[in-house]
Amino acid sequence: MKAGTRNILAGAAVFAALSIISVQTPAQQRLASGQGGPGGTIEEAAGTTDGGVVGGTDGAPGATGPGGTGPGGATAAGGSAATGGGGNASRFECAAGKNGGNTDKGVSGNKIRLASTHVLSGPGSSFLGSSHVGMEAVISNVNSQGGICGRLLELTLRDDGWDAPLGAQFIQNFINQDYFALPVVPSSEGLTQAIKSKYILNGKMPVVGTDGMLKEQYQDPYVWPVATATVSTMRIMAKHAYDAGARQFGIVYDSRYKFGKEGARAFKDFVEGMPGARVDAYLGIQPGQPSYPDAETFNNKCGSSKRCEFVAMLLEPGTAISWINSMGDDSHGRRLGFGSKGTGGAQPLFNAKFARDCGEPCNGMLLWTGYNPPIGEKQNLPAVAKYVNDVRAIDPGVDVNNQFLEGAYLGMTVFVEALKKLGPNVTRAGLKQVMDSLSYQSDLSSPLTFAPGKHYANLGAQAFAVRTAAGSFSGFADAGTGFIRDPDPGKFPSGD
Amino acid sequence: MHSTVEFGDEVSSRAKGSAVRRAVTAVAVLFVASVLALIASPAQSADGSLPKITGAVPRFGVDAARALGVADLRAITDPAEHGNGVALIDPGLDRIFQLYNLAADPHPHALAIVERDLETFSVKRTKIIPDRHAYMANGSKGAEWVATLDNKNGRLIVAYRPSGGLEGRIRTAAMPGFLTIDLRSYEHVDSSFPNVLADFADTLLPVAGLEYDESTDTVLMLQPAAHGVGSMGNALMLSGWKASDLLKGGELPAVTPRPIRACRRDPLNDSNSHYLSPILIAAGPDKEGNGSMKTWVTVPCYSSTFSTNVVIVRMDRASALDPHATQEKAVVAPAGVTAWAFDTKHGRLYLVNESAETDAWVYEVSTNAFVGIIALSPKGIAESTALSLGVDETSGRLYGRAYSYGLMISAAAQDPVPQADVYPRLSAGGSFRILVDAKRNRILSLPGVADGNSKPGDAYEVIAVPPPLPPPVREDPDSRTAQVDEVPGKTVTQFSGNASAYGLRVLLSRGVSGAVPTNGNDNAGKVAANVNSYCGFTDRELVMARVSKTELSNNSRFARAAAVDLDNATVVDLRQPSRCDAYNSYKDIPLPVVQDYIEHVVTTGALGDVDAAGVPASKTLNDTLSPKTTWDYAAADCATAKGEDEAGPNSTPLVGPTAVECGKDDEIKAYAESRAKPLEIGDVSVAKAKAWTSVKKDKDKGLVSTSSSRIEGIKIGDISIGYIEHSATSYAKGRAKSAKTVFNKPKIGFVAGPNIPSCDTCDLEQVLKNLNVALSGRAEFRKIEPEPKLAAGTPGGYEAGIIKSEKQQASDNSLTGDKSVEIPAIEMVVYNDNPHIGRARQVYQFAGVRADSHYGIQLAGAGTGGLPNIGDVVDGATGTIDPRIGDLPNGGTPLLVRMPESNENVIKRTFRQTGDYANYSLRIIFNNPREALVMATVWLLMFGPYIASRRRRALKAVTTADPEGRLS
Repeated sequence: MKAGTRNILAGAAVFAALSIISVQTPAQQRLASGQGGPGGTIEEAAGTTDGGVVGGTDGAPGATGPGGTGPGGATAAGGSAATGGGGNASRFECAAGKNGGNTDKGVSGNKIRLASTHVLSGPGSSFLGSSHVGMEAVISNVNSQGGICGRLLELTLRDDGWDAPLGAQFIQNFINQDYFALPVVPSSEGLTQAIKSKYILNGKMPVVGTDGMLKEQYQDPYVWPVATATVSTMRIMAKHAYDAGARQFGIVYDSRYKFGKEGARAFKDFVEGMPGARVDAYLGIQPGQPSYPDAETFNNKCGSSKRCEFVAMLLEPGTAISWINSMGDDSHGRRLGFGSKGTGGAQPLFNAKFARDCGEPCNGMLLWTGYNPPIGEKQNLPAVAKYVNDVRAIDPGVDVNNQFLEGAYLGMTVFVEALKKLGPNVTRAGLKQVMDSLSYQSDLSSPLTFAPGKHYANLGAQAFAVRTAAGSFSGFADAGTGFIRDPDPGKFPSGD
Repeated sequence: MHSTVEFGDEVSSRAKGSAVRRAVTAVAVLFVASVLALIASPAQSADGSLPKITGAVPRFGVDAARALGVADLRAITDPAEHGNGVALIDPGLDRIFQLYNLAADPHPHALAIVERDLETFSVKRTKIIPDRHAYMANGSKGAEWVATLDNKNGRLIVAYRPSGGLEGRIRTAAMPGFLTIDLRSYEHVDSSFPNVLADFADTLLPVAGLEYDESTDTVLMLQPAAHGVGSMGNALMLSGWKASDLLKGGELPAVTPRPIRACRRDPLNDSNSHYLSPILIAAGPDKEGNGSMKTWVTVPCYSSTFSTNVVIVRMDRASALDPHATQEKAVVAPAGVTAWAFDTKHGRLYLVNESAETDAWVYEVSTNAFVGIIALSPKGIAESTALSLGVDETSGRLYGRAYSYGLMISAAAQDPVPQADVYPRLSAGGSFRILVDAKRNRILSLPGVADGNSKPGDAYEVIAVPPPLPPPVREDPDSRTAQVDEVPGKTVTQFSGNASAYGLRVLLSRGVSGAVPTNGNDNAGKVAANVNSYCGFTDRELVMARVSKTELSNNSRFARAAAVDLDNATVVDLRQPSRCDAYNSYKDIPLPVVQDYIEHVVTTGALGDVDAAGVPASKTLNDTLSPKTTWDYAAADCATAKGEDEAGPNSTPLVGPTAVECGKDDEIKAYAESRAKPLEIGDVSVAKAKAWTSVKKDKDKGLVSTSSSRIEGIKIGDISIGYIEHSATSYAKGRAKSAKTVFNKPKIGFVAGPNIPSCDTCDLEQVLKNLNVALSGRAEFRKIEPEPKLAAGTPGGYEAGIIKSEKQQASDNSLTGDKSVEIPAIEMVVYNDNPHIGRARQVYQFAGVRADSHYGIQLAGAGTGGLPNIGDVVDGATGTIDPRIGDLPNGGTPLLVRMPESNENVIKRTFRQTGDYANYSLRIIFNNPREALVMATVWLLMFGPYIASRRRRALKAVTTADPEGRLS
């Protein structure tokens, strides 16, 4: 063979080899994924396949299922879930009547039983109250396509009023009953208690697509949050403010619910680690009070101007409104309690009701989210538009800007995508395997990548501004920050 | 020997370590190529990236001067004419035209036009018209030429004024007129105004508005009529000439202008504004008539009835130029309008007002209503005089540029109207029109303010903007039901229903301050704005008999009912009445009359008692009043004991029986009543209100959602209404034709009052008409239509409902802060807008109802995957990288956006994609070094075997050739 020919052949071979790992643009990755979800794709993270082991040890709930062979290999192989390297998985086909029937607890030949707690009453309902709409929207979508491998999704919801003991009790009941998994679980307080009580771990109950409000969600191997952690959001918020020139910080947080205490600590720790920055006003308040005399104390701690340079509000909407309404105005008629260089709110405040109830004082306040909400031109992103369309098919009056609604929709979508990846052989162990190697990209958020022991998949947050016009809330506006990455990803404050 | 060794040279070079050099060289070449590709990729900056300045078009370009045959173009223009070089774009011809008023030799008085190619900005042609000068709207403060483009025929119509004159004087020899310039042939025709526009000597005739109507080939002109001129006094006048008249040249035919009666004489472009008064000509349905589509001429102006408000007047184009026509429909617009833009293609008009913040109110011709507000500056910063606006009629985008928010881009033609995405890095003040090159996704922005003192910048900045994303196509709701009968075990039903209702809802937009009738009075407005009460400007909401939620689905069930519902701010203030102590906060304001009035109010009653005690301190005020005012009411919901509400001593007198029933699996109910005593809110009182709802799963009818409301003993000023009753029911069962609604006209009875025909059983339309006549100028009564598609029910039976449309929701939310979704039987809006406090409106909604049902029957078995992927959402789209990747500050992570491909050819696409990939690769290095390092390592590892094998083969060849194995 001539040298030139050999060179060409060798070059072609190398090129072919390299093409396997060639740089793919996100759009290419999405296009390549074929069976992606509503605006999303799934791909396997390399090097995380341990399906055989997981299947071998955890596949057991399948007294009725495939036992030790497990589905992990099938999914981790990156090919068809039905034909992957999972041994017995190949016995099943992704079709009704051939899907293996009762492959695990809560799974039958024609349905998968799911359960979740949610919040329709109590203070948490002001921002969590519509989360179930997002879940139902995805389920309706899936079921209208005939389900997954012939199985429809059946969801049971229980309102726990954001009450931790009641929520934990519901979750314990779900584990003891005939349910396969707990998607989304919008009621974070009860979920946290269930995690701390090891109900989830001991029950090996997958909890997929949670709101990430509390650190426990990132530490339980059976829980996969899709939201940006509250602690991440608070650090990102602080960093953004610092970069904008703020050095004097204040934070008012919810001292009853855990998300407030945890987020506030992360905020304080991060601020105090930045050169020249300090937290002058650090105040926890009990939620649900009609007014807050502490408002004056908070302002006084910010110095003679009674206004810190940056103020973070880590409160649920009702409490935040009472807090804001308890403030006086300064000599220029501007409401106190807001930062001179900026004010930030975490995801619980990212809904139209809060912005509307607050009105003019909140003009310009930045609210942070780990998602792409249907705001500005982002409303035309295909997956975002589909989200809006889907939830309005369940409730045409729902507030699509509520970020917990969008998070619930995304969480449910990720769960569904994992089930699709799992294929016909639906087991909890298999689901865990899939989730621990899942990378999900969509217009709804920055890319989500899970790995064993690394469940903080959503690491970015972006800000949107409350806009008032003619004195009243007129909508949210993209503040142009883009997704900012958590400067300390995966870092959680120690202690309770 | 070497001649027989194929790889001899390579061996030699490898032996000297040049493999490494080659690899390094290859990487370097690749890198350089990538960079070059990135730089050479023109589509990259045009198609995407964050908006950024990519070039400039000078106002006084050397090339333009050269083409005009002068040494210095700026030197021969009048320095007082700041409009020189201000441009217009003709997108059809793909040209940009800069206009100059020349004032020195060799053209001591002439109009010059410089034509540039819109793609390259190179000068194509020039034209000089002697003895004519164009002029800017409002002269020294104007920021656009008094001109209009006829895009259909490629003509530019420029108003001129004669040498030495202003806009012209009647019965003088030098009349103003039009230059009609054919932009293809560059010929022009000169037409002077007839001497009949106003029958009065020495009357100025400023052109307030000028617009070419392509539907009838007519140029329309708006002029303020002269004072004291008989039939034409105190009105704006609309005139028009056919294009054929203009093209004849000479004196235009005499026309009798049509007075627009709803307008005062003053045009909108008063002495402080930069632009011509807009004349929007667009199509829309005639809702007051037979609903047929008509072309409308729409003009904003100062109202002749509302004292300070601006109104938008809509006239039928067919009769718009008829001097005897009276048909006009006026819509109240914001006070304090200072700038505007409009979009003929989408029928939208953007009015910028700065009475509270600077924001653009979005008016839509097709609904003859405002449909949204776009915020354009932060609170406390009035930027309307340094705000430039532009419209892309292709995509419907509105562009704005100002100091605070920078460049603003809003897909303003969409519903609901979104707020603008902001790009602060491109902040610049300006008042000149932003010109849009939609074809190339770029805009031209001229910084600088036209205020008579400042001057525009020296050049237009060319700004590349991200391409607009097309609005997605909505999915068919009926795709959620399989059109099969329900069979246990084989189908699953997914249903959800919602119902809500209220008796009376009162919304005080801008709070109690806005409820004080100012009628535009300056002092009253100042008082309202300056009263330093903490509780003055917060929007207030009070609802009597409200069922805020009744939802039932196969997954959840919940209801909430309140006899009386208050907004949170009011609850706080009732607990701390000192926050509303207007008396103590008001004392410093030097307006004795109003001060006396307030003193009178607060020195009587409970406040008076406190004042008399001599310690009007906040604590005393709170201690005295708080026990009597604290809101001690809790609504009923499914989580409360027995599902009943709880009222304390303060609220008990206001509430009636209120409860929810949540115990059944297939039905949920709620009832709320407020009846204890009449509640007076402003001029409105209601004796009793109740609302009741249910959502039920019925075996035959599917999901049935019902909401009803009834209020009794209504008084609106001197007018009384016996009762109003309203109900809505929706059905859906997941099968064809099963989705429907029952939504009859509200029942209304026993209406009586001054100037109102009494009736026992009344017709709503007639009552609305009578009320609008009786309270004209004080309040407006209207009814709200539900979302039509949902009201009709989907053909496949998935859903039906009675609910406000998204568009109406967005509009109400923007304009009055009303976020409700219920459809009231009657809505009354009281306008107290004022330049000092902005929009101040009271909204009274009577008997609101909402019901919707959704029902999908889903068949198990067919599904193998579940959801459609994203590629199914946008037709014809292929994926490209969101160009914003990497430009995000602070290490932003990539955002995926699917962009439509342009119609570029293969070569261009190849170059662009090369640029894309190189760009992406580079950004990986900068955005995510760790990932880049990992990838580089993998690449190197992959290269290893190849390099090793090549080396082995080469060595083998060498040793074969040289039995001693010596390396040369």
